[in-house]
Amino acid sequence: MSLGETATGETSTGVSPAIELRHIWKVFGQGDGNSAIALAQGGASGADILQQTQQTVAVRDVSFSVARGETFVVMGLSGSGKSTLIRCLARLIEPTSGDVLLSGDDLLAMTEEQLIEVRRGRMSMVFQHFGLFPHRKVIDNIAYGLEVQKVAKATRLARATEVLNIVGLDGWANHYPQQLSGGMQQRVGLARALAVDPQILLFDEPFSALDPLIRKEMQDELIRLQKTMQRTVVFITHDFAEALRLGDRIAIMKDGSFDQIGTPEEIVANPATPYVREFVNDVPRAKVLSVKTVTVDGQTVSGGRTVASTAKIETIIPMLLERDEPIAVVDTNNLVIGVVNRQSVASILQAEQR
Amino acid sequence: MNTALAQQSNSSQSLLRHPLARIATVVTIVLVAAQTFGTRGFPESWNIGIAEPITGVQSWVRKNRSSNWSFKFFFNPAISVVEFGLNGVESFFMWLPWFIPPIVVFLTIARTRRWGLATFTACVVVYPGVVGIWPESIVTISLMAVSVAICVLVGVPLGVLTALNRRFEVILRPILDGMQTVPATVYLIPIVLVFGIGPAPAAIATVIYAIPPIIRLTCLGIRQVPKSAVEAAQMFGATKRQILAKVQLPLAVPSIIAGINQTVMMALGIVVIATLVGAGGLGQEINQTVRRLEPGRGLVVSLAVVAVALVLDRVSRSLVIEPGGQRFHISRKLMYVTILGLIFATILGRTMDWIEFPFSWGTSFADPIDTGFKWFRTTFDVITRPFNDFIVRELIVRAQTWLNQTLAWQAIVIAASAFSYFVAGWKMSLTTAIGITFIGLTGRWPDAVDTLTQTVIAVTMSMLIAIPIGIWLGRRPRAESLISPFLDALQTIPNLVYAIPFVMIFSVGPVPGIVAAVVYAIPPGIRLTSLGIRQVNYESLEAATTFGATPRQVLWGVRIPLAMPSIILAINQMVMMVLAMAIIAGMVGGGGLGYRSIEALTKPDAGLGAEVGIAIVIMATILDRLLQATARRLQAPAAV
Repeated sequence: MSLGETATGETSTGVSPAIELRHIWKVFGQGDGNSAIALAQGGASGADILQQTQQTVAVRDVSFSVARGETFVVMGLSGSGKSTLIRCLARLIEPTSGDVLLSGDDLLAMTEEQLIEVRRGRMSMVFQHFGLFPHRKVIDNIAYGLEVQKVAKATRLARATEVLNIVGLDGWANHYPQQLSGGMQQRVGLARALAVDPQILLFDEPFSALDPLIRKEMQDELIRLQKTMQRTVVFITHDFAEALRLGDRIAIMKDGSFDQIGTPEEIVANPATPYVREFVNDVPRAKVLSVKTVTVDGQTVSGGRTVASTAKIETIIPMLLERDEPIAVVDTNNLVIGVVNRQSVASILQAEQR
Repeated sequence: MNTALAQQSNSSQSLLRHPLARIATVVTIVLVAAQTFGTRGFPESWNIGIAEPITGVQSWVRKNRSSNWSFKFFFNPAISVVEFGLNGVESFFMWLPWFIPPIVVFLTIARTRRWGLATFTACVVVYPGVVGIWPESIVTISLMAVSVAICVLVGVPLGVLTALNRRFEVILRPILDGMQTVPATVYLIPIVLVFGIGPAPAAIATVIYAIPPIIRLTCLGIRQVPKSAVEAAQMFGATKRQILAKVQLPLAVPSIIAGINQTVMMALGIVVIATLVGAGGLGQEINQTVRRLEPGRGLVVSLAVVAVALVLDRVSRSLVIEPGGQRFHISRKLMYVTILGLIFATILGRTMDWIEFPFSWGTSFADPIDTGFKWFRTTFDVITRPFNDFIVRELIVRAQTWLNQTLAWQAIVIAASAFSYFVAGWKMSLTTAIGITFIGLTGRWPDAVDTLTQTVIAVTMSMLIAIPIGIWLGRRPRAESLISPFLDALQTIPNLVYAIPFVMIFSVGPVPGIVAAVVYAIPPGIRLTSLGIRQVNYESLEAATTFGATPRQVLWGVRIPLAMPSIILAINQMVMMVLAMAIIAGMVGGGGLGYRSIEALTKPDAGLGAEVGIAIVIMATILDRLLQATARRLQAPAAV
């Protein structure tokens, strides 16, 4: 699939990406799944495949890579295969075919012991329904990852306390998870994942069980943490707004395959399919698109107002309302690359009304 | 997918509707033919004689018990180990001063801060002493302790294995299902053959009878561990063993404790039957009171069994670690002090010779109960006698004549399998036909007819009582919360106890068995019915009300139809309870398969036992499957 190829552009630096998935397929049902894959490659629909093979294709030929320190969001509605995809990535379920590479290491070729090693040190996961252990106190939940690695009790409790403070739960160490609110429980889930200091963090719809205000709070928390920690993150969500807020890049998933991969801006500016457009339509564009997308050729008075090309459109609206004069757009090297004016902004905002 | 499913169900429905008339005609013709040309009663000459090879095995076992290697090196040593354990526990309890057990029970429960419950349970411990059956209770408790310990040691690993290993489950599950329907008396027979008679074989019999719940509930507990918790453990690199030890087993503990609880209850339930293979204790006492027709003393001793059940139940519950539950934190120091204190008290008790229970009111206060029952019997003779005669003459004898002499057995088989076809399809219809015919071939047709008649009468009576009460209670949560502890308590009473008062009232015969079965089956019937009524989707009820349905219309048009699957399951449960009571009914003169099973055990006659076991299992399986299928048919289709 051509979309997959463009997404692997990050590899051009020569270093292997933190995560790379190549042509991942997952077929559920009895049998080896090869016939179902063949049918799917021939363009058969899910219902046809189900009827002919009694199998369902949950993930269809998905390829992507995630650079070190990048936040990659997979957005899809329920049944789109996103949870299956992240479980393939973590090898909690075995993909039917395809490769999963972590910094170049073939995850699917690993033995049980090697896999356990990778999970102990290199990646951890935050779960949709938190996946906390109800029989352990908050602090012991957080220390769990270290405990299975047989880290000494004092060391692991010290580390767990440290992480507990990072997620803002100091004082709750000796409670049981079910005594905490949903938001706090997921902070425990997050702390538990952070405690083992993994390079890769996987999030499986972590905030979807939380109410909207708490969800926003948790998103802010994650953005704050990610700024200081720079982990490689794969984040699954069904909330497009959440994807836009958190993702460096977003993949839109439908019926097991990716409809589009791109930065939030690319997707909002150029939705690749009608399906993606459906989500984009509800997005306030001025908040997502940068000035660069509405820059046109033109002249400005020298010494007039300037704006960075990466600034969001919403920041220049007051300036344009104040005075109907074009504003110079400068790139990162402070060179003028064009102007924005009321017409160019109005045209993109009007597109929203379609 | 949606449409495909819809089409499927459509086609199956139209298949049923259209040729229904034709099938009905065929069935009627065949039925009439069978009735005209068939034989009345199953021909005895058709007996395929499955008893003979089994009797052969029996005599081989008898001859080789002392010489064959399997006895020398396996069965006999096993018996010695169990015997040793039993004697050890028994003599320990006998050696212990009487006041130590109540103190230990009190302290254990008091840890959960429920002082009232702790005091009450400690008093319950003293009860057998007060009524003068302390030594008998110790015998029974030792039997329980050893059997339950073996159950836990064997059952928990088996349960874990069942949960984690599909292949193992496929093998074990049908065995467990079978064990639940085979009457205990039947599988006591091989135990008597192999291990002989005595307290140790009784313990082994108890283990075999009581082990299924702990296997099931351990398996369930492991399975019910949230998938996300296991996934999380996996993601942190826990090995399989670490997941089992640190996540799955700890999270399954409440379920395992519930399993131990049920195992204890089942073990107590067989306490009376275990006396038939040589267990002494309370079971023997109860047995004697039935024989001597002393309901008062029977009740007093039965209450001791209930007391044992209650104490074991409460203590094991208080041991469950509820995460975050209210509980005293006990420092190591306090624990040592307590243990030292107990040891000191024990030594003091030994030196001062306060060992046996210091006083006893005996069972003297049981006499008024006996008198009361006698009075009841003579006073209400005008009611009980006609009731007894009505059931025996008008129902049992008539139904038996009808089934044995009026109807041809071929017609019965065809009618039953036709009914199975309409309820559960052709596979079930075949199973029914083969099953019923097989009962005939084993030679147990008359006994099976006898048991079936009594079962149908008892189930019908239970339904007439339990379902209306259940429907009434389902809409009155407050009344239900008042009644439910009482209903739960009824279920802990060993089932022979139910029979005692009715034997007194109706004298020996089928009626006390039937009435006892009804009383025994009603509580779960009420519980399941009211549960179904209560759990009806609230929105459906509101919708009906908004459309102007009267309360009566809501009840009959919405609540009861939606609760129907639960009600059918309630009936199913009652059928199983009544069948479980068949043996007890046999002990008090009910005849039928229950009586035969006791006959087989006391002789012992393994061949007869096998015949009876097969007949009961077939009956129970067919009734169970038919009712389950009915419940499924009445269930609204699941969401797609």
